[in-house]
Amino acid sequence: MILTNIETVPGKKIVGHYGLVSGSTVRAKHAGKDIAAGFKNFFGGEIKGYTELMDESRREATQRMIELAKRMGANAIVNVRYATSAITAGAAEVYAYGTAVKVDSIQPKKQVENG
Amino acid sequence: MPDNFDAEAARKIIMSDERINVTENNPIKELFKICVNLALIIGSFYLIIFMLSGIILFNLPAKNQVQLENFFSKLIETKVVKISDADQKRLLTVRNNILNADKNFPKTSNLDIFIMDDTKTNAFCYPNGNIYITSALYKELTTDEELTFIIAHEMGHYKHKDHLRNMRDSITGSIVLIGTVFVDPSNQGLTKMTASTIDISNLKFSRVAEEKADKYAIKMLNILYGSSKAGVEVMTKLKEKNRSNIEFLSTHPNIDRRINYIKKLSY
Amino acid sequence: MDNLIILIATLFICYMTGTIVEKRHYKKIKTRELILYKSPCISYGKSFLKDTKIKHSFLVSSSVVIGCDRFKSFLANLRNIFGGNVSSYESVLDRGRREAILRIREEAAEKNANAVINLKLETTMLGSSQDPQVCVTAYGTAVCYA
Repeated sequence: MILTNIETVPGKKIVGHYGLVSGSTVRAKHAGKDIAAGFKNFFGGEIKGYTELMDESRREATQRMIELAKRMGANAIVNVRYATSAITAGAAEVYAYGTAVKVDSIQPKKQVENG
Repeated sequence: MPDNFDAEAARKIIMSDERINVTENNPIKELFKICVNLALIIGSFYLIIFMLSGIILFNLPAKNQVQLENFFSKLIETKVVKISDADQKRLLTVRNNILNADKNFPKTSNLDIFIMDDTKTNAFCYPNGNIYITSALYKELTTDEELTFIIAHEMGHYKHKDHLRNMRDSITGSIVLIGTVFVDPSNQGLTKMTASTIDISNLKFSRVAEEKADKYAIKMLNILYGSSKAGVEVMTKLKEKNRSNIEFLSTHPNIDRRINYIKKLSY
Repeated sequence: MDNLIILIATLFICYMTGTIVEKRHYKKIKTRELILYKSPCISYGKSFLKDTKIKHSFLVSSSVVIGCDRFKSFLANLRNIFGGNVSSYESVLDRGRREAILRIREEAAEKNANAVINLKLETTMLGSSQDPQVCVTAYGTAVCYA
């Protein structure tokens, strides 16, 4: 499954499209990460626990979007966008959406003439 | 795009450490500036309310003042202990001695004296002029001179209108703190800071009031008995007794400082 | 009185540690940006594709969560009363953005891509107002020239 966040897949031609597909997850942190993050209150800096949390959520949301596209029969998703929102102080939703399409390699000019 | 991409320009910007998206300023200086501005604003607000309530409270007609005093005294009224007739007579004699020695004492109150049941040594003057001495303190006052010192100290508070000062301080403090709650409702940091500052300044003013009351008591002792040794004696006795009595030390100023002040006045 | 002293001591410690961490982070960002300065990262895509032949492309994304120390949030709360630039938070967002963009460029460079196009950025706040945390997500398409 090819994913891009531009409107085409470079080097290929779009031959059909299946509409909007999306995937989302809501994840909350657990108490252990909370305590570690509490220490960061003194130092500032990157909170690796939450970064991994957001990374996993993003990957899962993307995975769900790919699943949906596969079931439709698509082989690429174009114009992928992400939206993150905080639900409560401890939970965030990652929402991934894009257009599912079928792409085909661009036929070289010689073959087209023969056909 | 690969041909006309100018990588060198990007590299120059990275090397120059230029941070356009962050305003370059010293956070400590900024904190200082904000705190000074806040102190000025809240301070002037406090001063205005302080002066207004002071003018109102200190210039009440006598009838309203007595009403206010009785109202607040009713709020903090406490149980008293029955004492023997001899003790009652002793208390009233001391009080009358002081009233005779000081003709200018305000006559707006009965100035009753009560003994209340408490293990901590302390004495209070209520807003309506009544004096309450704890049973623990009364036990310690063996001579009439020591009793005179304590009662004259509390009467000094009433004469100097310290109860009105306390009322003015609490009203002003409450209004200013409620104001800060509205300014910063989500995170009460500002309210906590203002509360700590108001506490510190109130402690200083209460110390000045205590010293004035001590001065009055020493004056009375000198007039009635010729010497004020009893004042130093009773304070030293209480200091020994109150090694562990935190409450007494928190509401009255540093006891060593008081002893030194009294010694300076007497000799 | 004790409250005030504890507050000032906490703020001082947080300020010292926060500044050290921030300086170190900026140094690391600078070295990594210098390594990658030859491969661009741009926010448009269509007109780029008109001029260049691409062999293949793939999606790259990454997120960073940066927290603020007590001193920063205290200063920001006070600044809230008067209004104006909350300069203590600006560096947090700046670091988050640059870090996220660096990570997708590094991910692209790992798979031998030449550029990242159509960059998009997303910012959310994860923590509470007491301890604010900023999550920056960056994503784009990594392309290999033909």
